[in-house]
Amino acid sequence: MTSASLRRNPGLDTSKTMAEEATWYEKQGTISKAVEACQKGDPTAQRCLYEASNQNVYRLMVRMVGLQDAADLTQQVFLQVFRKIEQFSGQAHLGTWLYRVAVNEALQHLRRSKRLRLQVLEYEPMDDSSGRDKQIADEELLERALHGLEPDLRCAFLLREVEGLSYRQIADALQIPEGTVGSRLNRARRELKQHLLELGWEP
Amino acid sequence: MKCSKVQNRLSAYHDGELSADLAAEVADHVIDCASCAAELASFGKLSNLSRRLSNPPIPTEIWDEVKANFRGTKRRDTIFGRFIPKSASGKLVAIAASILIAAGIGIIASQSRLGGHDHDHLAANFSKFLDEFNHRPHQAQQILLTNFEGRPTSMQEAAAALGYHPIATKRLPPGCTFDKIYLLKMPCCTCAEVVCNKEDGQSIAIFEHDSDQPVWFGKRPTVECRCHDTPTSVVQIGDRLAFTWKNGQRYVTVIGADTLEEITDFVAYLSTTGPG
Repeated sequence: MTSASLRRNPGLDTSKTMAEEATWYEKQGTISKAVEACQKGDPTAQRCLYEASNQNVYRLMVRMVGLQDAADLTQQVFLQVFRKIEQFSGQAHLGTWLYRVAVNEALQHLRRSKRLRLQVLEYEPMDDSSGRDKQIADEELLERALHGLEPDLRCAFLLREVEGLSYRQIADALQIPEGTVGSRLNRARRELKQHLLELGWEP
Repeated sequence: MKCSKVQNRLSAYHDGELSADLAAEVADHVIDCASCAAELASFGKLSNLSRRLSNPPIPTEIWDEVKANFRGTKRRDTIFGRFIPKSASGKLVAIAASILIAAGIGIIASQSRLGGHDHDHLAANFSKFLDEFNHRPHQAQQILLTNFEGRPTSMQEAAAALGYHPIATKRLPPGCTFDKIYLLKMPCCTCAEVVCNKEDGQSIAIFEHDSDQPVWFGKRPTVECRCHDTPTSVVQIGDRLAFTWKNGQRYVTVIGADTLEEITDFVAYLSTTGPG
């Protein structure tokens, strides 16, 4: 599986996906060469790997653990990645491996802090009479509704809908059977829809 | 295909993850089933909504933190001893923590390198020097000169008096320039002190002596680590760091480093084999 197989999320206009941002590696040769450079502790390669993937890791973290802890955990993810990159075989997809490290870090953090339900994103209160754009309001509702999902369902949903991973890649990142991905997404979507409706979403 | 089976496969159908045969069966069912069609439509709306989520701005400090923490845990800086001082603070704790993270070892102990010997006079005078060195290195130098019959000298005279060329007169890490050299009559031996300047204008004092001198640091807490694969004792002196290691037949003590990286550079450049 190549990095180009990662689906582009058309809603993320201000950032690039890992696939697009990984062009540095492609210009320099192959991803394996970049990994090899990182394995030797090359700071330039480390910086490029960070630049290519920090948006993906950070936005996942914000929605998994909340704004307050997202920066610290993103930092931990990259420290782990650079320390463990010697273990990266190259058979796994680099992006999927990064997501796996990020997901493990997020779930461990949530288990530690026992904060499975978050109220962390600092959005303004909803006000139906304000005349604010409905589209923006719906996005705010979705952010809130996401935090009502169990972490394993939220992970699956975010990896699919925001990060654009295939079922095979989600299975690798979450270390679950590929057949389980669909059922998790079914549950995630149904529960998410329910939370949204309770928050006043008008589909 | 029945509703229950379609419902189980609805996300996979929506995401284009079903085989062509199964996808055709689901599609046939959805045409005639209002309930499943509504569910599928809601999945589509959720996908559309998800694509509109904005990206939170990334704090710029993240990379700085990653870089600083990763640099402090490079393989060559691994744990050696087991001394994590409870009373230590600031840089020493940061160094201790980074070393421990790298080695994955949890150690708690409070340790002074001062033994039970009576070195009060020497310890007191050297302690005054260390305290003063942090802010007024020139005044600090006078304390040493006064208490240990010190005098400024030349490289040639120092070599003649000592019987060897002090290592710091041969090479220094990049960014450090030689300033002065002194001879001091310490209780252990006649000792060379080389003073050099860093690019930021701060002074560094480099002592070369015949035996280990933990008494110089009194009861200050110490972290033992490996720098450039060399056992090195690190002590916090105010805002800065002092460190000492065995260098061939003698010992080298450096006062005035700021980071573990800098300590490693000094040990690498001043070691008997040189950097690399």
